[in-house]
Amino acid sequence: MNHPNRGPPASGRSADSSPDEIDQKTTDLINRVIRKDREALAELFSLYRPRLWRMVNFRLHPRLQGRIDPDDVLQDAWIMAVDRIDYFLRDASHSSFIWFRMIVNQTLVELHRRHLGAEKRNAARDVPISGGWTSESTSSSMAFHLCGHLTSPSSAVNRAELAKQLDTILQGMNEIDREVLALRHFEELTNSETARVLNMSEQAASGRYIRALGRLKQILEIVPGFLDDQPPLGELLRKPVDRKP
Amino acid sequence: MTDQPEHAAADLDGFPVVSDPEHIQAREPLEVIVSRFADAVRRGEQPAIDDYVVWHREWADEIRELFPLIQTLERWKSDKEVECLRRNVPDEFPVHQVGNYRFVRELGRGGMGIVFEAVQERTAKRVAVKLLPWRFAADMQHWKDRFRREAATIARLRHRNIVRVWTFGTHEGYCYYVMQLVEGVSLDWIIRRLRESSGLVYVDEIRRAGREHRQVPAQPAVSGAAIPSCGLRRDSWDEFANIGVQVALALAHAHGNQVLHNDVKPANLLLERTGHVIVTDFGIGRRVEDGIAGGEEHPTGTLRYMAPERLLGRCDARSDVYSLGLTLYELLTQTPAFEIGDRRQLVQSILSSQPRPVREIVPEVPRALETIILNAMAADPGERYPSAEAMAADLMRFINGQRVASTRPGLFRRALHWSTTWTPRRPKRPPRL
Repeated sequence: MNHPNRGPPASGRSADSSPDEIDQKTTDLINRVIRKDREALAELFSLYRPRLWRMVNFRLHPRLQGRIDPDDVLQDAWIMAVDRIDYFLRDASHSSFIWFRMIVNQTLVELHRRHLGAEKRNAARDVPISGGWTSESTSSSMAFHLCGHLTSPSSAVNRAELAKQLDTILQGMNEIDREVLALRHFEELTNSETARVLNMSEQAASGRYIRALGRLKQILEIVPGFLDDQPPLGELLRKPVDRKP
Repeated sequence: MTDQPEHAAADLDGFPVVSDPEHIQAREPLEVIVSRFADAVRRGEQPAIDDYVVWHREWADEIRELFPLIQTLERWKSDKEVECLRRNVPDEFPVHQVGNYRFVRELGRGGMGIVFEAVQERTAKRVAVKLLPWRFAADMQHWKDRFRREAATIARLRHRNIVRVWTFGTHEGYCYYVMQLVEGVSLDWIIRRLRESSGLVYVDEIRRAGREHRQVPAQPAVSGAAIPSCGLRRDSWDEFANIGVQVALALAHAHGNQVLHNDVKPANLLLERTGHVIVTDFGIGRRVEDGIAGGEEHPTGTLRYMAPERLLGRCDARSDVYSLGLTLYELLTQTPAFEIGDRRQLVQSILSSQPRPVREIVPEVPRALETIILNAMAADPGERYPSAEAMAADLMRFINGQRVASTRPGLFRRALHWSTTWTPRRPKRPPRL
């Protein structure tokens, strides 16, 4: 069988290794953090900051979007990370990014509890799938972010209604598949990070990602207003148009 | 800082790293290919799906099935992220200084940045600073690259009618660039004022509005044709043509340097009280989709002036000529050529309908000037002026009372043209930039 590594000429970093790859600089930082160097912790945190921001932005409840700045959440998480520097060696041995992500996650869950009450995004009530998120919170975040591009007022249904409709359908997805999709696509985690977060093998994680993508495609095809209502503009003009002076 | 030197941490060299190949083999081969493609899209490389089909023939069907979805999902995600970032920009921006530039006031907010009037501390020079309002934008490589590219491209263009850009920098996670401060008002302000009952804009108003929105001039501006002492009236045909000449010359200069403006519209053309025009806000690296699927707060601002071929992802110098034609149309008639709020209907109408003739709205417009505008905004690029220079030359002929060179798309020619089913013609000689 052909090895999937065959492909485009490698330019710069290989796609498979990009975020997983631990370069010398990161290794040095990790070594310093193990020795409880807070400056190194700060550098490591800022290295991961864009990825952590993306995660907060995705996980933030639609009702809190616009009310809470993800940067503030990251600031709170940073304080918590400093408090836990003593446990870095013990808890971050698999991946320092996942360690930071876990801390940010806890900050977020706590924040949702404070702002939305115990009934929303309650980590304790359900079996946590990925660090404290219930399946319904993931599907509503996904629905919210997938509806972002629907800005046309001519759409028969408005954006909020569509999000609700999509949310319901997404909830029908296998919850592990949905979570894999959330981590791989919306949070941009690598396959191995996803496997680590969901505590499964890399093989299982990769199979589920492909399956989830296929499922999402089916879903977007049946919900009106997504793939069907957005013909590429090219198609508009390929049809002969009568021009009237 | 560590205060436990006795700790055995020095023996460690990071965490054990599991070697890679095993892991890749344990993954689904298709997933590895999908991940590589998605990463390339995220890096902004615009990978071609067909390449992947050639490289991985055994997965051709799956690639054709899934990759377009991935492209779409990535685009939605990045649009949504920008929307979220925009919403989090506070009304009162918390930064008051970058480098040694102290902000005096906010001048405006655009699609991507906020523009401030600022003072360079040591020299007391007044400048404008455009800033990406998101902290840690400097960490987000693709934004930083795009913003830096925008600054570098404009900086290369030295022309009296193009805004000057001096430096690019980062400050505590914010990216910014420093440019010339223009004392003046945008043409959309002028159009709005002309539309009002009196149909008159006084020079003093331009100066006052310029001060409110912008600044006090540092040096007297030089210009060929100043606005007459009274100001602009609805029938200031020569002055309108003069504005057109200056913009066309600026565009010709940019085109000569392989730069397209991509976003010529009244809001991006600033008029000083002397009559001198400065072209700002080049849409460098901006995608067409940004205009079409862009934020809700500027639903159709950019789209309205976009050439039909640009909507299809093709553009050259003549696409800017078209947008300038539409801008002049609006300046002369105070009526937008296409006035539809909804994005999709607007696109349809740009692609398939013709604006009302200029002289039908304002019969006093000189015929020659109407001809020039008609030639600039022809739907078919092949029927437009071949270059911005050619348009500038014709506008100058009009000002000088000479016969304009371009012929009017005559009734006979038009009738012939419309009678055949309209299909988008490929440009005959696309001077592609």
